[in-house]
Amino acid sequence: MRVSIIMPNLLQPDGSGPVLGGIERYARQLISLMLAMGYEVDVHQFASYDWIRRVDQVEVYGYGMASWSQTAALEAMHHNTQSVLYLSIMQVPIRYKPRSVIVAHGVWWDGPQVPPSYVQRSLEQCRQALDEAGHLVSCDYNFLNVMRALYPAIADRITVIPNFVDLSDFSPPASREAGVRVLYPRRLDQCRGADVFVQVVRTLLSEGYRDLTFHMAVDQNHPERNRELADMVQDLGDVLTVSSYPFDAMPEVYRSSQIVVIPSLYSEGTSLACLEAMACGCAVVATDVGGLTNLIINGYNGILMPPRVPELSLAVKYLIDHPRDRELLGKRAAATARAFDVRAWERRWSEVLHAAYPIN
Amino acid sequence: MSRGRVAILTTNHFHPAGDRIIYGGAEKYGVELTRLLLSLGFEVSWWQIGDGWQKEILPGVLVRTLPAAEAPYHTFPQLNQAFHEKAVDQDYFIYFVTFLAYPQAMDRSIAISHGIYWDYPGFDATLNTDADRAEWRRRLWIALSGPRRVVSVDTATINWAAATFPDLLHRFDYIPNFVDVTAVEATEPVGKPAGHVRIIYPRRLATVRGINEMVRAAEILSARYPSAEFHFVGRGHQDETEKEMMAWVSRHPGTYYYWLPPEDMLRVLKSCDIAVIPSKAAEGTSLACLEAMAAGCAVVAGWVGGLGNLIIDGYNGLLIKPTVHELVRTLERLICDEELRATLGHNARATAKAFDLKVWQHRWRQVIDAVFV
Repeated sequence: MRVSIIMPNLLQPDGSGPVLGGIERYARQLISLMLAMGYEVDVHQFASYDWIRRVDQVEVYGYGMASWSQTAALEAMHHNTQSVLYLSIMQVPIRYKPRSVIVAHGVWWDGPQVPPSYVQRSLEQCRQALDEAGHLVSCDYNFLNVMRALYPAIADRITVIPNFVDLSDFSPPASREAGVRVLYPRRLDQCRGADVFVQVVRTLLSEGYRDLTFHMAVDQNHPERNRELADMVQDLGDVLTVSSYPFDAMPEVYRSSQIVVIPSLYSEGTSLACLEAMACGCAVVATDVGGLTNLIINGYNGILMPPRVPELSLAVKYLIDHPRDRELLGKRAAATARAFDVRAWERRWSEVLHAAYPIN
Repeated sequence: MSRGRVAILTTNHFHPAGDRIIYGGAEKYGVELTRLLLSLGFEVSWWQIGDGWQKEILPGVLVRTLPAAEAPYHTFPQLNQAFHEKAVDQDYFIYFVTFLAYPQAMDRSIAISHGIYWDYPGFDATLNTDADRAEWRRRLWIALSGPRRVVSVDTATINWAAATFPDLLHRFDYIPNFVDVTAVEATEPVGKPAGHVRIIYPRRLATVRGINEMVRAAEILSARYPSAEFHFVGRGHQDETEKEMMAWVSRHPGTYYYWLPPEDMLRVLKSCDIAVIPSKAAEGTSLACLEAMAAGCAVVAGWVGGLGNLIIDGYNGLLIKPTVHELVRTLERLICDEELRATLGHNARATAKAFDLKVWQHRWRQVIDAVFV
């Protein structure tokens, strides 16, 4: 049976190469599961002109129509497909194909100073997705809670499958180095709180914290953001370093860090970065935003704080000053991460896939 | 020396007629909060709906009553107003439920959110038109924005606010509910026949708590597994519900229905292998769930509200869609897998320590010190 995946961008709009991000990694993991289960899979995405690419065994179709109208591009995708799986809730007008699965990656409209019309539009997009699709898979319990609080009669169409971490790649080091390195392992999107992290660093330095380093492992999807960041931190010299890494170098980046900060401000699910940091036995400081609240139990396997600089600084200072608690939280984080093993994620997804797209 | 007078407004700590005693999570919360305030040097008084009686919540701490005839749009404006008229000699204020801070909140006040309570389909039928719903939202916004701080027992409420009322985000303090770990650890379990698997539903008989789903699941499983015991331990809101439940257990061997005072409840909990919290809606960081975790039970919980703050599926419990099908499937798995039960129970007990009463007291003290000055 063929299942077509509809998503904004697996590849760059011109088809030149992969997009680096959580949803794209999610797509790759899901595609390899579907292929292993015996489905035929193709991908349909927005593009700057019409193209076809082949990634591994999968055809990827780029719809140039998206440059003019994403709604029209989605309409064209519907003409070219039978059974469909939407890899995210679409943020443009659309009629979903009935009996489809839609993946929700968490609440995305919970930012500060968003206009009420944006909140209303986003809620309506979610309601419509719930209404029209047979099934919605949410990566956290938070999205489900928000939907149940708004649309209780149809929220049961949601199945929660928390995100995954591959334990064969991400595991704690045999022994951790003695020093303290504090890591920010996220993209340079406003919602991820990179500038909050820099402010936390400045707070700690102003309070006399020495003998530790700070590191930011960031993306290069938007070079202008890297330049902005470089300007912002240039006076910090060697205390705060910034680099970008290929994905397979990340386990080592986590292993050589003692503390990981996930300072998300909004638009957060069960963050892959948070899970990977946990799996590597880092002591995690995360915000009480979105699905992070389903990963971290404050004081047990990490620290959960409101998304504000004073509170986050307090948490990082605590971990610096209490090496034993730091180690204990990291150890428990690694233990809890085992519950998010990619194999468990695959088992849950295969149940959903079997039910939604029966293979005769 | 007194640090000042704190007046706490609630709807019903005691039944409005003063005669039916239901000791649930909210009541426990109220008692512990009172104890904490007293230990910090405050004088405390409680106010609730009623027709003129007075009772003690703790020795020397009175619950007084106020009239409240109506509750339009799920608020109590009359109660709110009467409270503010009567409590003029008080210094600090706690609205024990968020909506009680409508329409007015006193200056030095804290409101408590016990979780999202409007997330069941029937709620919609209580607000018939879009205008009614808008009015309810408007009142809720006023109630949430008036007090200095809103203490939320779970992150679901905070994230709901962020997703619907973005301007309210930074008013919240997340203080999850508590369990007295020392008391649970010191409790001796009651006995249990060898080879039996004891399963407990330690909640009130309320539809949003998933009582009907659990009853049906027990019907199916008790017929399949004679060595499984199903204990339903909690009161109903009406005599009729309790009678019906008693009749039901009489027809199904291996099922039991009763209720106990808190200390005896702990003894039973400690003897249980599995605790089921199959809530469908209106759930925070359930005290019953935390007690079951501290008691070392393998917990099966609905993926609702604050339960996702307590249980990490597959680590310290199992988090499921609270349907009969999923309950049967999950409980069957646990009944048959002793090792899984032991692992989940062990991790639940370890996790519960992060929710110890002392942690809760410390967090509350920070909020009190910031607001009650």
